[in-house]
Amino acid sequence: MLMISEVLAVFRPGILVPWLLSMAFGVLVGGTPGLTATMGVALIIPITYYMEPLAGMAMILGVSFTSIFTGDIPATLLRIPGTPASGAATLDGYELTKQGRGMEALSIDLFCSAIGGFLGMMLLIVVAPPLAKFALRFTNFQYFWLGLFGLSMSAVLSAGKPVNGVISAALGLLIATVGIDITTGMPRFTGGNMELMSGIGFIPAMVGLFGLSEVLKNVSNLALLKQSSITVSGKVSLLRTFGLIWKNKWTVIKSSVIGTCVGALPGAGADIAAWVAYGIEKKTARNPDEFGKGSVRGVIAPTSANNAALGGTWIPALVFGVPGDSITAIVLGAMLMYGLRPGPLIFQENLSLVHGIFAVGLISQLFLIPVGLIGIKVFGSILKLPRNMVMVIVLIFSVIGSYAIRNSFFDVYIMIAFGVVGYLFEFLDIPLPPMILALILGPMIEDNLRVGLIKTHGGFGAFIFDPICLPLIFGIIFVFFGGPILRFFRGKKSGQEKQ
Amino acid sequence: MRPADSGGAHSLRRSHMVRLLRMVFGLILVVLSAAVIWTSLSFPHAVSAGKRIPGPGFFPILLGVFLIPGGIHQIISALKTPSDEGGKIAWNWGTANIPILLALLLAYVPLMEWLGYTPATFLFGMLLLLRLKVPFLKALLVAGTTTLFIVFVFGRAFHIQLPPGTIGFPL
Repeated sequence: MLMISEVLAVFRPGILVPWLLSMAFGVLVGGTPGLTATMGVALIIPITYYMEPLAGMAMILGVSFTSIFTGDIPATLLRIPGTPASGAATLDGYELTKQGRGMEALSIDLFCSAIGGFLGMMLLIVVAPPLAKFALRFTNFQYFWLGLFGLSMSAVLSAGKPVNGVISAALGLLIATVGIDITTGMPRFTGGNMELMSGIGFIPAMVGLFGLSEVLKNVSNLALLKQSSITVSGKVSLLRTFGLIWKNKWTVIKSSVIGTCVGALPGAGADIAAWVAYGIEKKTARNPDEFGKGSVRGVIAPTSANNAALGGTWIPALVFGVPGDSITAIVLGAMLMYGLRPGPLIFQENLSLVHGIFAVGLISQLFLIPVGLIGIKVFGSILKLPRNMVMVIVLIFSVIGSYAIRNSFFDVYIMIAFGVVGYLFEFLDIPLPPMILALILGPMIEDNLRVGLIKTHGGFGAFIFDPICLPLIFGIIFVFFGGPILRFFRGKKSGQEKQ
Repeated sequence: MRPADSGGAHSLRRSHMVRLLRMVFGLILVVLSAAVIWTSLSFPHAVSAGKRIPGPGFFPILLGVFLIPGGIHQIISALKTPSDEGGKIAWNWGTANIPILLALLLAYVPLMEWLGYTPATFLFGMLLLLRLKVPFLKALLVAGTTTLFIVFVFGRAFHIQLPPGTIGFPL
C-alpha cells in the first residue's frame, strides 16, 4: 500500500526540481510537431543516468505525461499531431478550433488528460501488485512466449503492413545478438571490434531511429520546415469546461479504462489506445454523425485514453519486465542501466522505488494542470519557433545524448547509422517501434528459449503444454490471424443475411 | 521534374526510387540472413553435462531462416508494385540537405575529437543553421545558446565528460 511518507518523499528537491524541469521540457517536445514523447524520453535518459533512480523515473514520467498532452495542442489548433498519440485528437479538436472553440477544446483536453492519467495510474496501483504475485509463477517457458507476444503485438499493431512489422522485429532481434553471448561468453558478429563486445547500445540506436530519422525527414522537406506560426484567441470559462466534462463523465471514465487496458497490452501504446477509445465512443454514441464535426465527446474520448494508456503501459513493464510501448521499452533499458531488474521481483527487492513511481505518476497529474495551462498559453511561441532551428537543436542533443552514455564516439556513429536506417524505413513503410522493442526484448527472448531448451534437453513440450503458455500461444496466433478470421466469418454471416 | 522546393519524403514516396529501395532492401535481407547463418554455423557447439545444448549460433540461425522469406517478400512486393513516376528522382534543395547533413555529422565527430566539444558543436550548429536558411544573427544565437546550455547542464551540472579535444580548448 502507498504510504504518506512515500508520497512526501518525492517532494525532495533532488527529485522535484528535475521532475518539474522535465515537464517543462515535455511541453516543448509535445508541442513541437515532429518531436515525439518517445524521442523526448530518449533525449533525457543520458541525463537521468547521473541521478538517483527515482529522480530519473520522475523525469521520464514527467516528460511522457506532459508531452502526450501538449501533443494535442498543435493537433487541436493546427491539425498537426504533436505526437503520434494525438492523431485521434485532431478529428474533433480541429473542428472545434474552426468553430472558434479551440481554447475550450484544449481546456477540456487538459482536464480529461489529467483525469485519464490519474485513473490509469490508479488502475496500475491496484492491478500491478497482485499481478506481480501471479508473475512469480512464470519460468523460462512463459517468459519466452510473453516476450514473443509483446513483439507480435507491436509488429501487428504498428502502422503499415504486419509483415513489415515482423521484419522490423526480426531485424531488431538479430541486432540484439551482436556482442558477447551471455550463456557461453563467445563474441558474436563483432568483427573483432572491442566496442561491439558489449553489444549495440540501445540508446544510440533509439536516438538514431527516432531522433535523427525525424530530423532527416524534416530537413528534406521545405514545406515542413516552413510550418510555424498560428494565432489563437478566445477566452475560456473553466466553469463551462467542468460542466461539459461532468456531463460526459461516463465517457471520461470509460475511455480511461479502455486506454489503460489497451496500454497494458505489450506493444500497444497511447496512440492505439486513443483511436480505440474514439472508435468505441463513436460506435456507442446516440448521434455518431456528430463525430468529426466538432463533438466534445470526440475530444474527451481520445484525450482521456491516451494519458490513461501511459499508466497502463507500466503494468507489463513493471510486472513482467515486458514493455507496453516504446516509452516503457526505454524505461526498461534505463532501469537495467541503474542496476534494477524489472519484473515481479522488483516488488520485493525495490518496493520503495515502485511506490515512488506510483506517487510520482499520481502527483504528475496534478502538476499537469498548471504546466498544461502554461503550455497552452506559451504554445504560440513554441509553434512560432521555426522548425529549421528546432531540428538543429534536436540533432545536437541527439549527438551528445548518444555520446554521453559511454563517452564513446563509436556510439555516435551507431546513432547516425540507425538514423539513416530509420529514415529509409519510413520510405519502405517499415515501423520502427518493433525494432526498438526487439532490441530490448531480444536478450530476454533468446535466453529464456535457450535455457528452457537446456532444461528440457531440447524438448518443446514444456513450451507448449502449460496452462500459462497455451493462452499466450493462442494470443500470438490471434494477434496475427484473428482479424482475417473474424472478417471471414462476418463476411459469411452478412452473405447469409443477404440470401 | 518537381518544383524546386517541394522535395522531401512525400514527393519520393511513390516513385521508382521506393520500388528500387524495396528491392535492394529485400536483397540485403536475403544476403545478410545467409551470411548470418553461414557465420553462425561456424560457432562452436555448446555442451552441458555431456549433452549438446543450443549454442551461440542457435538463435541467429533461427532468425536468419526467418528473415530470408521476409527478404524475398520485399523483392516480390517491389516487383508487383507499378512504378508510377518514370524513374526520375526529384533532386532539389530539400533532398540535397540529407547528404549535406550526414556529411556534416560525419565531419562533426572527428572535429569534436580534435577541436573539443564546445567549438566543434558551435561550428556544426552554425553551418547547419545557415544551410537551413536561418538568418546569420539568429543562427549565432541558437548555436551559441544550445552549445552553452549543453556545456553547463551536461558538463558542469551533471559532470558528463564532454570531449576536450586534442588541442585542449579551455571550455
